Order: sequence, then C-alpha cells, then structure tokens
Amino acid sequence: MIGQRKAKRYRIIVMDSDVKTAKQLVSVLCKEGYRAENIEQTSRLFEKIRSNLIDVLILDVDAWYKRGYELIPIVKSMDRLLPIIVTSADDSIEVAAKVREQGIFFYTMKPLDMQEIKIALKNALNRRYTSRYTSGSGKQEKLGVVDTSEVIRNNTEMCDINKHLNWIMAFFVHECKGTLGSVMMNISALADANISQRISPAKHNAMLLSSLCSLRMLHDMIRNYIISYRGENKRLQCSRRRVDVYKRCLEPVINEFRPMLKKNEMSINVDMKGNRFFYCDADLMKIGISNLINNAIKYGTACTDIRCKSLTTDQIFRLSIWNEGIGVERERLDDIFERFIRFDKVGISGTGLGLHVVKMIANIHNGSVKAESGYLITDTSVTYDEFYSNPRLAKTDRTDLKKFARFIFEIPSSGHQQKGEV
Amino acid sequence: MTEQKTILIVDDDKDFLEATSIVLEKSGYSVATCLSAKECLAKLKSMKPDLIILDVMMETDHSGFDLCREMKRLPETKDVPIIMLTAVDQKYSLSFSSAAGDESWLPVDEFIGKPVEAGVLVECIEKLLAR
Repeated sequence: MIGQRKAKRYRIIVMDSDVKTAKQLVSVLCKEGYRAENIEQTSRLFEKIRSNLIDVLILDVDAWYKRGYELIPIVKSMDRLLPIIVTSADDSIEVAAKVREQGIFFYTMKPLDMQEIKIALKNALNRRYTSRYTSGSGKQEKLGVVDTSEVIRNNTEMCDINKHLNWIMAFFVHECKGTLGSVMMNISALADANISQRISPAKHNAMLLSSLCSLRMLHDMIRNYIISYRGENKRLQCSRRRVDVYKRCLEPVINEFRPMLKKNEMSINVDMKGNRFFYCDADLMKIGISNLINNAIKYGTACTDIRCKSLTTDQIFRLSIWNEGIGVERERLDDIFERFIRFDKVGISGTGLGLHVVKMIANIHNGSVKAESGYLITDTSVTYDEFYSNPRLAKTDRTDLKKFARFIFEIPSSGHQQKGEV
Repeated sequence: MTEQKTILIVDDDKDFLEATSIVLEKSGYSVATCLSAKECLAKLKSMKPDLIILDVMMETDHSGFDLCREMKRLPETKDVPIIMLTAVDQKYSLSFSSAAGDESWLPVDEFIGKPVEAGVLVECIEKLLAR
C-alpha cells in the first residue's frame, strides 16, 4: 500500500525541542522519500493540520516547553485519525501511561532506533490510508459484523465533505462578502447624490477602478475554487492544441489585468523568446498565467515593474513571472502551492487557491511550477540559497533589503501531435 | 464652526479601507485606518478617535471581538462609540450580552453586516455621534 503511494510523498511533521535529534530524524526520513519537516511552533503545527498538510506527527513529550503530551488531545480534536508517534527521553512508567492513554499510535524511547521509527511510520501510514480507502469484507457483512475500517472510511469521507462545505462557507462569509463590501461602498457612494456631488472626477474614476478590480478578484476567486474542486475530483480535463501562446494566452491575460496594474501603478515587461506556438490547453494556460500575474500584482510593491519572461521551443514552454515585493518566506517556498496557503493575509483578499491551481495546471500538462525568493542586492535577484551560501552576503544586514519572488512555470512538449490541431 | 470628528476604521481589507475612507472624508470626517487589531492598539496610544468602525475577522476569526472588549477596558477609549462592521452576520447566529464580564459580552453600539451601503454607514455614524 505505502510502496504504491510513495510518489505522493507523505508529509511527516517532527516536533522535538532537541534540535539535533529532530534534524537527524528529518534527514533520515527525507532520505526515505518522505517530506519530513521539523516544526517548533504550535501555530505552524495547527496550520498544517487545518490545511491537511500532515500525514503523521512525530512528537516528543519534551517539545513545547516540556508539555508536548498536552498537545495530543488538541491535535486529536483537530484530526482524530492523524497517527501520532510519541518519543520520550523519560523511561518512567507514569509518563508512558499518561501518553499511551491518549490514543497515540506508537510510543518509543530515546535514543531513537531509526529502523523502529521507519517501521512504525510505515504502519501508521498503512493504518491511516487503509482505513480511509479499503472497502469492507463481504464475508463480515454477511455475518452482520460491523467492519471498523468501513465505518472509519465512511466517516472520513463525511469529514472530507464537511471540510469542503466549511471551505465554501468560509469563502462566502469572508472573502466573497468582504470583497463585495468595498464594491458596495464605492458604488453606493457614487449613486448617493449627497455623497457623490462631493467626490471629484478623479476620485470618481478611482472608485470605479477599485470596484472593477474587486469584481475581477471575486471572479478569479470563484473560478479558482471551481477549478480546484474539479481537480480534486479528477474532473479537470486537459485538451492540448497547437496555439500561439502569446496571442491566445499571455496577451489577453495581461490586457485583463490593465485596470489592476493601473490601480497599483505597476507595469509588466514582457520578454518572449523562441517560437510562439506550443501544444497546450490554452484555456487552462490562461488561468495559470492569470493567477501568477495576479499574485505578482497583489504581493508586489506599488510603482514597480513585473518581469514576465517566456521561452518556447519544440521541447518546452517556460514562463517566469518576477516581482519585487514581500517575497516568500524561505521555509514556505515548498508549501506555497498547497491549498489555502497564503503569503500574507493582512490587507490582501484571496482564497489561497491561486498558486494551487497553477500547480494543478502544470501537473495536468506533465509540467512543474516552482517558487524562488530572496533579496535584491543592487538590483540583482539573489535567492535565499545563494544569499546564505555566500559568506560575504550572509553577514549583510537584511533589515532594509528589498525582496523578490519569482515563479517558474514549465511544461514539456506533449511529444506527439494532439487531437484538434489547428 | 464645528470641530471635525475623527473616525478610526479597522479592517484587514485594504480596498474596503480605501473606499470607506473616501466616503467618510467626503462626508466631512477626518479618517484614520488600521489593518489589524495590533496596529489599532498601537495607534490608539497617539490618537483619540470620536468613533471606531471595526471588522470582526482580521488576524483571527474573533480578533474584532477581542479588540472591542479591550478598547472598552481602556480608560481612553471606553466611551468611544464602536460600530462593528463585519462580513459575518454574527448578531443572527450568536446571542450577545451587554453585561461586562459575561462570556458573550459584546460592547458595541451598532452592528452592521457587510456589504453596507455608504449612505447607511454615514447615517449610522451621524446618529451615534449626535448622542
């Protein structure tokens, strides 16, 4: 079961205040093909659980100011099926009993036996996903015996549906109504004779422009939600055709963003190299490019340029969108493409689905998307890795350094003539 | 000549802040804005608004609730009227108590659900400031 699902790269979170052990454990698990990560803050752990970005938790009883075991009931209340492997340096029976009675998956002593951890992890994942996906045995049903795994599976499905409904509710309650709030305020002010007569023509235009941008954002949020939902339910289709990527995809998207660019006093520099034609699903490509540009505008610094570079060859289509702005935190570069993950919530509306949809579109074309971020050193983009590996730069005071973010979207050629060629 | 009243708007939506600021400035008020509860508490150390418009869901789902309770405890803001402006119609789903110390105590003067029309908001502000 686990072998077949290896490619999915299970996400293991390690929470241990002993940095050395945590690092060693993470390194061993990464070599085994897991996406392991050490987390020190409970807020980050809860965020991972809420966003469904964790498959197994390895928790040390001494983590979180020596109160790690107190986290178990909280974690269980958030995801009762999440397997928890607890480690401890305290070999007392009292501690073991206190931890075990909380319904954890496995309890082991330090120093850690890595082989034992690996086996426990495999079993934990098997239980988590077997209970989710295997169907019950017919023999048991005939005998009228309740199949626990079937019950758990149904329950899990119900939980997933509920989670989805909650997301929809959160979207309507906060993002949708919030965005409509500014539109309603602007339009109603312009329609109210008492207020509008005091508004100058320039402000009048600014309010209309702002409303247009809010509606555009609302449209994109709804579209992203629908695409994400289709993707999650394996109903997203990719129909590759030979298209002029500039005329059919890039140019119309840039034109759609003109009002938003104007509002933020930003511009886009486009640099296209290579062929113009490529086999891809033009509609999906437009959505992907739109989300990347939207992102660059939202998190970019006002009055700066967005750099859009593309290269199209017979083998590949590569698009890079660069912006100066708040950047992406180094430790978030990997999970920025997960659902409902946002750069920074304050002041910016969004569902946290845009980049996830970009990844879905890249995947459905057998391609990839990656994020880079770092500092701007005399107008040169220096990634975090380059920055910290350079002894001279690493000593630089980072307080006043500007940041950049770059997204590189790449899809390979389909390799053969597709249906519906133009 | 009557003194210009100052209104502080606290909301994590930049676009909403911008739109509401224009509306209130054009209605004769001086406007200050904050994007978070934390920023608001810092700003209140250097200014005393005549009225506060407050969003519920900012850093957390309930940060507006916490902030308004905190402001009612602070001597310098305890008498400032608060309009709670939110995307969630909490007044329909939660029952509030006006008794301080009670768990459901929500010391706001007016509760308006988003989206709200400019005229409705201005009217509500005028009513509260005239009290």
